[in-house]
Amino acid sequence: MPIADYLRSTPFKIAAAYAGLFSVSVVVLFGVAYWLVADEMKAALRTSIEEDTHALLDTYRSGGLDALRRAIDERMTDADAPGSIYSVMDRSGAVLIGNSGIAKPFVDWRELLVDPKSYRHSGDDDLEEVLGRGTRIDGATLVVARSLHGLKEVQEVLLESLTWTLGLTVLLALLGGVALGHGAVRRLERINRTFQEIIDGDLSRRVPIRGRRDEVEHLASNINRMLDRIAELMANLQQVTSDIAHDLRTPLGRLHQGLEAVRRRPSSADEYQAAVDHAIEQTDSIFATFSALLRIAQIESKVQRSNFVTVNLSEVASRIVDAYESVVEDAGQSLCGRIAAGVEIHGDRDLLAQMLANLVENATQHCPAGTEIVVAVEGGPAPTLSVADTGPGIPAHERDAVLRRFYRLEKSRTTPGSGLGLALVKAIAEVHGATMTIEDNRPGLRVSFRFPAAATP
Amino acid sequence: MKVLLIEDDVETARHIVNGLAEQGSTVHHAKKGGDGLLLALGRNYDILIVDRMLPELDGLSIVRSIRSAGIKTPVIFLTTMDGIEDRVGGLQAGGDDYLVKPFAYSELLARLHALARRPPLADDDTMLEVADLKVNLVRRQATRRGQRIDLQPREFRLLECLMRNEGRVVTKTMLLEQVWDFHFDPKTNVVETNISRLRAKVDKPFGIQLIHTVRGAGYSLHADS
Repeated sequence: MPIADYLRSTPFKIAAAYAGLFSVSVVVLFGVAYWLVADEMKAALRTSIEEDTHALLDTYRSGGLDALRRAIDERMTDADAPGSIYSVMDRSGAVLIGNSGIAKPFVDWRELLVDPKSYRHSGDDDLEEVLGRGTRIDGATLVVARSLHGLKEVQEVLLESLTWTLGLTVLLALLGGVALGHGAVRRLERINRTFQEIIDGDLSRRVPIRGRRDEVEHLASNINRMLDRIAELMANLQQVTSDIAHDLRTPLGRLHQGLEAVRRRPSSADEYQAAVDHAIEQTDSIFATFSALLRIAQIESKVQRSNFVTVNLSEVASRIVDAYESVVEDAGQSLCGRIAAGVEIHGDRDLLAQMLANLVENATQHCPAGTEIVVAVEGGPAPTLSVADTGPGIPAHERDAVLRRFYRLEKSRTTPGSGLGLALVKAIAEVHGATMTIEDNRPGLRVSFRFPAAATP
Repeated sequence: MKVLLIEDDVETARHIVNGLAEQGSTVHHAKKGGDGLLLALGRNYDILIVDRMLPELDGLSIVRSIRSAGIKTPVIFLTTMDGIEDRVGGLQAGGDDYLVKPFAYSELLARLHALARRPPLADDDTMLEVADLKVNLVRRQATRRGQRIDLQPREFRLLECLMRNEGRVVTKTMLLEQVWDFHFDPKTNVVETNISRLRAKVDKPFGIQLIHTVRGAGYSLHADS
């Protein structure tokens, strides 16, 4: 991978930004140290010069010029004080005592350049900066000065370490940035490669997880979960599409056969009539499948929640029991309601009616004569609704599957129905926020719903 | 019957126009919402058939406009949108009935007749009478040849619905809507079962049939003539 990619990577940019920030702080830190050291050292020199000057003045006052000369000579030969300059000059600048480095007499503090040979035996030819103080003594001037050479040396050391530190900081930051950028770019590259493979059609690919527990891994595992979900939805969609195709083939096939049969041989008007009736019946069955699918899709999109109002669940259940009582009786079964009065939920009464109707129809169609079907409504903080029968029931392992579109139990393949009834029931339960349970009624099947309490206005 | 059809789908429109013309009705057809509204405002019709999805001006707006202009002509909405909120929205806008495409022509015809000939203030009737069958709506009692017929409440409502539409076809769907307030298509024979029970009580003991099955359409209550 070209280095330019690392340089463009976010970790590298962050590292570079931090390197810049650290450099500035290093410069500020050293600048302050530099200034403080210089200040402190100069202050110490001033104190030393002041004390020396006062001592020499005392000597002069008590012993005159000769005593002063002796004291200065003594100091100048003192090896402990290199870089000290003493000079007593008259008004014309002629040196009376001490060394000749100071060109002109002056009063008070001054920084000036002096030939170091005048006060030191060894040294360069370069002029040295000194700090001096001049004091008038009678007609002459006493100048006491100290070389600033030491201070300069310290300052140079500081500058040098600043340069090294700065260089090292920037170098380490850039190297770290490239290393981090390399790592991040490589990991993101892996994710990108996975995406590319998925885009190319292999939906089973997943981002590799290394178990590092950092944010990139977290992102990767979320991406994988999202991919799982998408794969599941895709599989579902493919399943439904092929199921639709399969379920529509049957009535379309019958329609075709019927029409063909009546065309093949000359028929009476009655036979034509029967063929047309048969054709209409088949198209109605196709429409019914389509409408049920559309209805499920519409309910699942949850747009209908906005139309929800307070619904009297007891009234809906009673209406269903009333409508189906004779149908169920004709099938040799019985239907009764155990319905608590005035139970209210938040929902859509037409959808709830359809849900209950589907369940009662399922029960009467899939159960033998003699089955008892009970529709029950109970109130309380979480109202419940249930439809129970004493028929053959659904095996435990198939109870989830029956909620899928077009799923039909093997034994019910031959009975009429689209296989969409329970899928619709599930969609309606979900849009109402109800928990749907399919359980054994010992014997038979019991489908129950627990609704959230109706919102009090 | 003078009918205005506002429908943009040519195939559906031809189906309806031809069907109604065969029945001897006058049908005006508008393809666009704007034209339809102008016709509805300018002429007198017995009934309007309005598609909800139209170019220029949608069906709901048309019906709102004619209702606010004080025109009380009955309106049937047609739609491909199969949804409860559509039905409720259509009725709120001033529609009188609602039919989801695709529909059987017989269904549309039955509803047109029911709407166009809806007698005014029908809800205030207290007695309905067809031949020797009498229904007292206040006491919820039915008698035939002076003989009391014992009916379940749902059977009474079914009979009442058929008698209010005397001589006209009432479809299965209309009965489901009006008697049970069902706005979906049950998979079992709810209507057939209850009709046969009603027949067993109303027709069978008296020999003369009043409740007739209209093939491929629905039921009709009338005295044989």
